[in-house]
Amino acid sequence: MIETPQPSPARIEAVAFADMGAPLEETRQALIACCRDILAEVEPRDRDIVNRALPVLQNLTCKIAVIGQVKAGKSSFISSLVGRPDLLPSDANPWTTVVTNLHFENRDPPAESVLFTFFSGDEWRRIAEGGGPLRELTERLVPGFDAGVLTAQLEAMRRRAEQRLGRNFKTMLGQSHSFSKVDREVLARYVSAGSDSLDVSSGWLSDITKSADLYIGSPRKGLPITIVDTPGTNDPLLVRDEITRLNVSSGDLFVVMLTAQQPLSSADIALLRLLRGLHKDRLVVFLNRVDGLADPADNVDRVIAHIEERLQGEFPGARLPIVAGSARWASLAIAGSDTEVAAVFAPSIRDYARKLGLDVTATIDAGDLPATRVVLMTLSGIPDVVAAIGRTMQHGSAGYALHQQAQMLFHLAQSSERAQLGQIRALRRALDETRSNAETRKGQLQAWRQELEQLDAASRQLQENLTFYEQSLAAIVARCGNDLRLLLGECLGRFVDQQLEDLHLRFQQRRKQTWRSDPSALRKDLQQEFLRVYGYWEGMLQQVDSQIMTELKRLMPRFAAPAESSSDPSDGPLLPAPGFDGLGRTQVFDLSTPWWRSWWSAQPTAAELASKLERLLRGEFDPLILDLIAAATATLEERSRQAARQARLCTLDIVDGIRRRSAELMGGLQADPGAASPETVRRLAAELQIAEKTVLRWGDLRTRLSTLLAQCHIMLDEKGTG
Amino acid sequence: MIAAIPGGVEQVSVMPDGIDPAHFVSRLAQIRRVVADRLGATPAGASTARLLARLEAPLSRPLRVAVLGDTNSGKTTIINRLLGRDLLVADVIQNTRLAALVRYARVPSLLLRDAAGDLHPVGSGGVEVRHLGRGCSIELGLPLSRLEGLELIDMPGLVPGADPPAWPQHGPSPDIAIWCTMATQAWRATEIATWRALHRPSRTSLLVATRSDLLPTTDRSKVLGRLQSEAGSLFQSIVMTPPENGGEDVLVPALDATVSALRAVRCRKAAGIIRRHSERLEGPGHATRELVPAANKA
Repeated sequence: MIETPQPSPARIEAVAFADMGAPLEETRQALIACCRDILAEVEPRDRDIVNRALPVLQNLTCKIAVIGQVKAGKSSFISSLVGRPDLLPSDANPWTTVVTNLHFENRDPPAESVLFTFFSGDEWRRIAEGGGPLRELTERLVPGFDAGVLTAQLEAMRRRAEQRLGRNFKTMLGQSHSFSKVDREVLARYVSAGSDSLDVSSGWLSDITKSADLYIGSPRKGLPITIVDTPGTNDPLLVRDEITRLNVSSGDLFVVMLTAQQPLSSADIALLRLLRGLHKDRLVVFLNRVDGLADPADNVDRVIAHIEERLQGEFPGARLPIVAGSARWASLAIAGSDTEVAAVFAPSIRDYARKLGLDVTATIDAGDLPATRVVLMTLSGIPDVVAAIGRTMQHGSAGYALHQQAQMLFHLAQSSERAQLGQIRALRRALDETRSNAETRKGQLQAWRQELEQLDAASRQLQENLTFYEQSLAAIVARCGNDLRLLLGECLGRFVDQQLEDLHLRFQQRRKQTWRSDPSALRKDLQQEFLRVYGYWEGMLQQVDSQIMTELKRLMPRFAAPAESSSDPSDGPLLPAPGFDGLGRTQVFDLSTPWWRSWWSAQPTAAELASKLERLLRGEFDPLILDLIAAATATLEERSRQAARQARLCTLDIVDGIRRRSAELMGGLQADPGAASPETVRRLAAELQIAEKTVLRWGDLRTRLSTLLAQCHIMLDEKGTG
Repeated sequence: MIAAIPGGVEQVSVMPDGIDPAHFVSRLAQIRRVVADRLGATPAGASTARLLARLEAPLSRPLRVAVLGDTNSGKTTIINRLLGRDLLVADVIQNTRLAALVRYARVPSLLLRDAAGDLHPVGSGGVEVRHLGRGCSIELGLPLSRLEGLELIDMPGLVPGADPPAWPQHGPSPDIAIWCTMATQAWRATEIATWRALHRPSRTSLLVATRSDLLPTTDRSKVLGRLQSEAGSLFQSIVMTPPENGGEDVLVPALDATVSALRAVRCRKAAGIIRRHSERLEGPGHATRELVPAANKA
C-alpha cells in the first residue's frame, strides 16, 4: 500500500496556529517593505512621516487574552492552541495564579526565554485598593467581591511568601528572574498555586510572582501576537480573580472560555458584562470540555443555540463567533499515545464526528491512527478557533492600525506621484520650449548678430558720411569763394579795361569835361556774375544737403527714438541772400576837380591816367568785391554750418538709436545664454529621464499600496462568523 | 393527671443515645391518643394532649430536602439519584424553571400550586395560563418508598445577587439543603456568595460535587481535599457523585445520615419540651413522673 504522507499531528495545529493572522502579517510585511522603498525615494520633508510609521508597523502586535472562569481550561486550551500540550502547568484545582504572557514575535533566528517579574512592595497594596472603572464595574457586577476579603487574602499571600522565602523575601521584591529555556517545571515553580505546604517545588514563588513572560521562538507566518493566560475569574481566592480582571483591560482580543457543562453561568455573564463595560467587544467564544458531554452529536448544537440566545441578550446585534471543542482532545491528538487516541472514540464521539461531516470509516474505523489524530484535532475545535481568532484580529486594533498606516502611505505615494508627474510636465514644457527656442534662438541670434554688425557698419558709415558732408560743404564754400573771387575779379578787370579804354578815348578826344565812370554796367555784371556763381554754389550746397538729409531721414525712423525727433532739417532758417547795396553807388570821377585838375593839369600821360583810374577803380571796387565774397562766403558758411548742424543732429540721433538698439541686442544676446545653450537641453533631457523613472517607481509604490489598502479594507469588513 | 389514668402507663423503652426517631414518634402518637382518650376531659389532660399533638405534627411530617446550586450544576440529576430512578428531566442546558416538590403519594399526581396557594391539577391538556406566574411551583406525588419521610425540592439554578429563592409556597421552608457544585469547577466564588446568603446551619447542609466522572481518578481526592479545606466549615458532609467505578454510592448514605441526625435532634428537643411540661404539671401523681422518665428516656 502506498503510504500517503499525512501531516504529522504535531504539525497540524502548528500549521494552523503559525498561520493565524497570516493575511495581517503579509500586509504588515508588505507595508514595511513599502516604507523602506519610500524612504529611498521620498523628499526629506516627508521622511518624518515614514520614519514615524515604520516603528508602528514593526512593533505591531495583537494581544489575545484568554479569560473565563477558574478551571474552565484556559491553560490547557492555550497549550493545545500553540501546539505544546504540556507547556503551561495546570491542575485539578485552580492552579494558575500569575498572568502568563506568551510572546510570539516571529524572531529569526528563533529564540526562547522566559522572564518572571515579582511584585514590588506597592503593587500588592494597589491590587487591594484597586480603582477606576474596573473596580467600579467589579463591585457592581461581580457578586461575592469584597474588597476587605481581598485585602485579607493579599495579606495572607504575603505572609506565606515571607514564610517560604525567609530572608530573601524583601530582596526579591521588585526583581525579576530570567531563564533561557521554557520549561514546565520552571513555570510551575513560579506560576502555579502548588499545595499549601511549604514544599519547594511547585508554586514556591507564585505568591510574589506578578507575571511571567515567555518568549516562544517557533517561526510563524502570522502576525506577532501575545497570548495572555489569566488565572481565571470567580476564584474563591479573590486575588487571582482581581489579577485576571486587571489584565483584561489591556487585551485587543479576548477568547472567552466556557464549559459545555455549565455554559454561561451567572459568573460568565458578569464577565461578559464587565468586558462590555470596558468597551471590549472583540470576542471569540470557545466552548470547552465538549468531551464531557454524554451525547455531543445532540448536545453541542443545543448548547450553542442556548449560548447564542443568551449572548444576544448581553450583546445585542453582535455576532460573536462560538467554537465548540475540547482542549483535552487537542492535547491527545498532538501528544497522546495511540491507545489514548483510539480510546476517545466511543460511539457517541463517533456519531459526533460523523455529524460534523468527518469521514469516520476511512480513519477511525480503518484504524489509521495518523488520520484519526487529524480527525480528533478537527473535533477539538482548535483549527476552527484559530480561524475565528484570525478573522477577529483583522477587524481588531491590528487591522485598524494597518489600515491607517496603509492609508497614510498610500496618500503619500499618490501625492508624490502627482508631484512628480507635475514636475515631468514642467520639465517637458521647458525642454520643448528650450528646443524650439534653441532653433529660433539660433536664427534669432544670428539675425541679431547680423543686425548688430549692420548697425555697427551703419553707424560708422554715418559718421563717415557726416565727415564727408562737412568736408563737402566746406569745399563748396571754399570753391564758391574762389569762383567768386575769380569771376568777379574778371568782371572788374573787364570793366576796368573797358573804362580805361573809354577814358583813353575820351582823353584822346580832349574833351575837358568831367568823365563819369558809370559802374552800373559793372554793377550789373557783378550782380549777374555773383548771382550766377552764388546761385550755382548755393544750389550745389542745397543739393548736397538734401541728399544727405534724405538719406538721414530714411534711416531715422528705423533707429531714432520715436519720442523725440530732431528738428526737421529742411526747415532751416532762410538765409538772406547777400545784399548788393555796396554796388549801388555810382562812382563819379570829376575830371575837373581841383585835385583832379592838379592831376589833370599836370597833363598826365594816358598811361598814368590809366593806371590812376585803374587804381581808383580797383581801390573802389576791390573792397566791394571782397565784401561781396565775404558776404557770400559768410552766408554760405552759415548755411552750410546750419545744414551741417542739422545733419549732425540727425546723425547723432540715428547713432543714438543705433546705440540703444545695439545695447538691446547685446542685452538680448547675453540674457539667455543658457536657454539657448545645448548644455541646458542636455541637462533638461537628463532630468526628465530621471523624473520619468522616479514617477514609474512612485506609480509602482502607489499601486502596491493601493492593493494593500484594499486588502486592509477587506480585512476590516470581513466579519468573523462563528 | 396521669395518675388519674387508670391502668397506668406503659413503659416506653428507648436508648437515650441512639434515639430512634421513628420509634419515638410512634410512641408519642400512642401516648397522645391515650391521653386524649382517657384524660381529654380534664384541663391538664387536654393541654397535654394539645402539646403532644403540637410536638407530633412536625416530627411526623416528611423532611423537606431542597437541592440547590448554580445553573446546570446537576441538581435534577441528584434528585433522580435520590429517587432511585430517572424521573425528572435533566438536560444539557438549564432546564428546571419552576421549583418542583416531589413527595410521596399513593396515587401519582401532578399538581400546580399557583401564587395564591391554590392547587390545580395538571392534566394532559396542561394548565390554564392564568394560574402560571411568579411563585408557582409544581407538586409531584409518587408512590416511591424512598419518599416516605422525605420531600425533595428541585430548585431552578440560583442567580447570585438575586433575592433568596422563593421556596414552594405554603409550606415550611426546607429542613435540609444540598448544594450541588460541578466537580471540575468546584466551589467558585459566586457559589460561596450565594450559599452564605442563605444562612443555613452547617448541621443540615450537604455539599455534593457532581459530574465527578469528568475528573481523572487521581484528581478526585485533590478536589475533595480542597473542598474540605475551603468549605468544610459550612457543611455537615462533602461527597462526590457519581461514585468511582466499582465504588459505592456515598450520596444516599450521607443524606440518610443527615436526615437521621436531624430527626434525632428534633426528637431530643421534643423530649425536653415534654419533660419541662410535665415538670410544670408536677404535682402528686407518680404516673406523671413515670411518664416523664419514660419520656425522658425517649
